[in-house]
Amino acid sequence: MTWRMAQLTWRMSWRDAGARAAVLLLGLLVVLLVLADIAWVRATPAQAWGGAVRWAAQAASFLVIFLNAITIGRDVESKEIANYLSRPVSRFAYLSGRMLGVWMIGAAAIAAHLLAAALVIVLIALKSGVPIELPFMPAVHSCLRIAPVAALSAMFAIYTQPLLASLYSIGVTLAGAFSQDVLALNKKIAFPALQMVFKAVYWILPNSGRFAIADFIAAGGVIPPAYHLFAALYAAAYSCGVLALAMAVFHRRDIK
Amino acid sequence: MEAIIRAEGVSKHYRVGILAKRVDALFDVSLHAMEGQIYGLVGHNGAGKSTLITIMLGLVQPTAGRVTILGRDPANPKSREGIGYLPEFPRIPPRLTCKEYLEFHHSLLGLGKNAPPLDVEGLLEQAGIAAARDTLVRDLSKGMTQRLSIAAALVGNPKVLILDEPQSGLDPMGRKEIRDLILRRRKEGATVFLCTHILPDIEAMADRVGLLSKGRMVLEGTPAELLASQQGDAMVTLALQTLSPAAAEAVKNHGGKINTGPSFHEVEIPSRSLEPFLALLKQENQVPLEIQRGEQSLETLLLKAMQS
Repeated sequence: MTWRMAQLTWRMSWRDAGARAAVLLLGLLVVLLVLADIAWVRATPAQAWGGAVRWAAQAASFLVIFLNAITIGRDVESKEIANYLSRPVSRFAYLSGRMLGVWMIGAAAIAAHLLAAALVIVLIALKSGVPIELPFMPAVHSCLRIAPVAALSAMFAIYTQPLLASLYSIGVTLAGAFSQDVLALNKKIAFPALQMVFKAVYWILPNSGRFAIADFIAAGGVIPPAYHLFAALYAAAYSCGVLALAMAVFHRRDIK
Repeated sequence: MEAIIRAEGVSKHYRVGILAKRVDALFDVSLHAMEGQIYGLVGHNGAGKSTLITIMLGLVQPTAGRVTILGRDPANPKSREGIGYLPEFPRIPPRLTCKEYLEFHHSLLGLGKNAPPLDVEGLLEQAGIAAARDTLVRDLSKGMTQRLSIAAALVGNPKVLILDEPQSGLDPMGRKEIRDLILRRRKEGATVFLCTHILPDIEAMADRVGLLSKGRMVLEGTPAELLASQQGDAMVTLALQTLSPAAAEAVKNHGGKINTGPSFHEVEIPSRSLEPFLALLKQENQVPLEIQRGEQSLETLLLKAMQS
């Protein structure tokens, strides 16, 4: 049932002109930022690719947040959700299906945006005769990075109204970009109680830093294969944890 | 014989607003519908009909009491395999075609290889929108959307149909078609839980009737049982040559009416008051010229109960 709900979300979102326009505009923005990197910062192809991966992941994060808020929010507010839950569909299947569908759209958007960015980088590099290397794994990590975002935005969409859900999701996602700093701060604090608080905040926030490997690779760094597995496990565990938290409330919520 | 739909002592209250004010939606509601029966539920707007339906579908948890459908708790998704539901205000994903929407409902049945095959054309034909097979939902009129929702409720040939205002937004022809469809489903053995404001339909179709008022079940039973229990409220008309002040006072006290004509008085009293009134006339040595017993229809009975 999760898969069926994901398929419906995928199909409905791509048929929505607004969603298609958002993907297109975000793609253009990613390409423009890559061009700006090359033109102004004189980025090498590897550095420009690192930037493209970063921008594509951020653009997809926003896309996922808004799609979840709109899809789940509309389902609840318009009572369309009764169509699904009056069939043999569990609430978990509904929520995880919506989340999975939105994640698939985000991943597809990342793939499309990076393809466009890669095309631009390759064309410019060929013209200037610079050697090109565009590693694949940073793109995979970008897709992993948006999984916790999809879970968080699905949870907030179930808890509250679409606008508030979007704002909460953006807030937590942005805060997650600083989770390494929270950890660093924790090491500098002498009070054990505060240390515990910072440690908890570090684990609660989605740690997007774990997936930011593009710049490291561009700088010549090598990522061990176990790290990829660890990142995938982190994304899966964090998403499942957030879904479990969402289900704790959604499970008993009255759908009037 | 096991009831297909059973509610026992179902109550529901909500907490609303910042002060968590208690709002009582249902009080101790009990009902049952057997296999192949049409259960008609009527009541004012806000009487609690839709709340009861959402509890039956497991969308809302009752505060007290218990509901079973096909012998299972509706909170268990498995129990909904045999249920087709038409909501009061159908909301359908607007960018699907009618065919895709029915296919999607079929995919949600979750019966795997045991799922009955989907006959899109047959379902759309039954709902009277065969020509709209490839039309997007957003391009359908209100009545056609209602018909598509009815077709969706029939997907999987469910044993239980829960229909909330199925004739809403339909033209007279459409209403008749849906009435015929419900009767046909009953004939095929389905149990239909019908929630409607159209009392003549309830009278014509329902095997059991429930009347909800302010969350309480004020009448419940078969139409025959309800009519028998309320027979005392049927009016009796008597034609009298003369009407003494004492008799006129008695008519007033019994909640009756007097129409004074040129040659006789026409008196209307409830049938439960007929016996004492006839005794009074006997004391006055008067014999009524004519006595006519009025028949109470289920519709008038329900209307009266709703008004009171």
